[in-house]
Amino acid sequence: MFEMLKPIAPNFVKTYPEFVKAFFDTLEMVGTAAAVSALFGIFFGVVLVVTAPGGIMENKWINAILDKVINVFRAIPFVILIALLLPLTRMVMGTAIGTKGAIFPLVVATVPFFSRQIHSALCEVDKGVIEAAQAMGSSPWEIVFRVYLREGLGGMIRGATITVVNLITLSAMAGCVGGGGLGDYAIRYGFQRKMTDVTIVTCIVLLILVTIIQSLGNVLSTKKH
Amino acid sequence: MIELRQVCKTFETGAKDKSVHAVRDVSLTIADGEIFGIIGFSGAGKSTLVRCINLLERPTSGSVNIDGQDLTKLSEKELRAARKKIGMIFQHFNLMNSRTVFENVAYPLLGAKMTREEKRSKVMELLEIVGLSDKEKAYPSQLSGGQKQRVAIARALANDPKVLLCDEATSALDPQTTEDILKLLRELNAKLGLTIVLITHEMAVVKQVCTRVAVMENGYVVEEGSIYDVFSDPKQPITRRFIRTTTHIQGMEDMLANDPKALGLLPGDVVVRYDCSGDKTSQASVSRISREYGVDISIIFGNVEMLLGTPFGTMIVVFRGKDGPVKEALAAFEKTASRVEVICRV
Repeated sequence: MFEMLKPIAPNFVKTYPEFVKAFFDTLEMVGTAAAVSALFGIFFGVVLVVTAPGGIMENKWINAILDKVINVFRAIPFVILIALLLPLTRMVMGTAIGTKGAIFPLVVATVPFFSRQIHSALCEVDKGVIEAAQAMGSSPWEIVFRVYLREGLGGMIRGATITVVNLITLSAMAGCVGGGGLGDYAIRYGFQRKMTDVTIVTCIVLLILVTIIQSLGNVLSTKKH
Repeated sequence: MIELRQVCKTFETGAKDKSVHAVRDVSLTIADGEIFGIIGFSGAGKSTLVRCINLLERPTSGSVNIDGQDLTKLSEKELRAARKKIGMIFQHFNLMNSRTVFENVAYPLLGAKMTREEKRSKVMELLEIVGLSDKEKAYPSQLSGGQKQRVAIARALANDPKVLLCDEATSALDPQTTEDILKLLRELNAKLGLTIVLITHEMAVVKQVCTRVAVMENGYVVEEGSIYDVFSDPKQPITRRFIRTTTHIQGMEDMLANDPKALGLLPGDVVVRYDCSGDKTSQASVSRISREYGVDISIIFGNVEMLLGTPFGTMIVVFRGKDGPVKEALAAFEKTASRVEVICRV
């Protein structure tokens, strides 16, 4: 296969070991950031829904503050967020560069986004079903775990799919600050050294990755839960 | 026994002086084993009132007593325990789409101190009662409206409640399915001694199953009584309006008002509405009075309802003859009826 690629993408073949490392760096960044963001995102998303006016644990203050904080973080462009977070990243991760240094800003950028996705997925859960659960004597926490997170699962998976695809885009941007990964690889070889074939192959690989994730998300979210 | 005492529910809309009084000073007593209907047009406050019974809406003032326990004074935890003994079904069924029929019915038993086998036999027993034993593995989306409501009823009965609240439970169903569900409710009432509180905007529903009824308007209960009393002798205009919707008499009265000539009425004719209950034989009195007073009496509308097993008849009759005899005949007629009302004189 390598021999076949040589004439059409010579630079890609030459830098292949770099590509493999970059690919796994991307998977590591996206995977770790997704896992951590999932935990926080689900938590904040649930808090947003249950504390909303008319929610099962209505709390005006918590709701208003969380809502505003999420908006603020979503309004900051990612590249600027990376720069803003530099000292904090160094404190939390021990370093602000490389794959490790990229994970922290990725999480900070993704949590608000995913919280919103969870929020809107849980808002889709039929209010009548929540009311029925209350009428059956379910406690607020039982309603969260037995109704919201179950009835809203399809929507949550759709939100997670969008979030992971979004994370891949962001992780490429983390390359700008020495974050490693496919974005970094494409910029260093494809852009700075004008190795266009590298850029194209990277794009195709990312396209395949995104397609796989999206298809997986579609299958999981339409399954009967 | 359910006792509502001076229950009020006011919603603050945020704007000044713009609070909505959904329920105003409602006091009702619902005895064990009763099927109690609450009827009203949309916005009358009946849905809010039924939600006050299990405190899905906490009354702004007043008390809600079930078997002597004031629900408004309970802690959250005690209230949840009390709610397990109050089943509720809804207009839109409110089943969980992510759970099978079996899992939906088993939901109220989650966390109950029962073994898996006990839960299974309980759920299957409930599905048997509602006639859906073969659907345990189906998802709600695969069921018809009537079947969904049956699942909801089974779910509501999982904790062996004494009370079943029905919030417009048949309003989203077609007439045949409505009848089937009402029949099921009647059976449950008879078999389990279940007290049923039924909210509806359809008089036909009340007529078919309820033993007593309260009529709501603007948040107030304006009329209350046994189904027979309310039907045979409605006091409030709104009650009459509801009753008319089920007897077709409205159409007849419209016809009389708009186009009396089409009915072949002549000047001097007196049109009378005649209500009578089961034991009075209306036909015999019509022909008897007609003969005795020399007055022609023709029946242009007739309807008989069965209310709690007693027939209740309504007729519209036309008196034709000389003024004097008609007056006397009317007086005699009045003695044979529960109620006689002169609708118009042509």
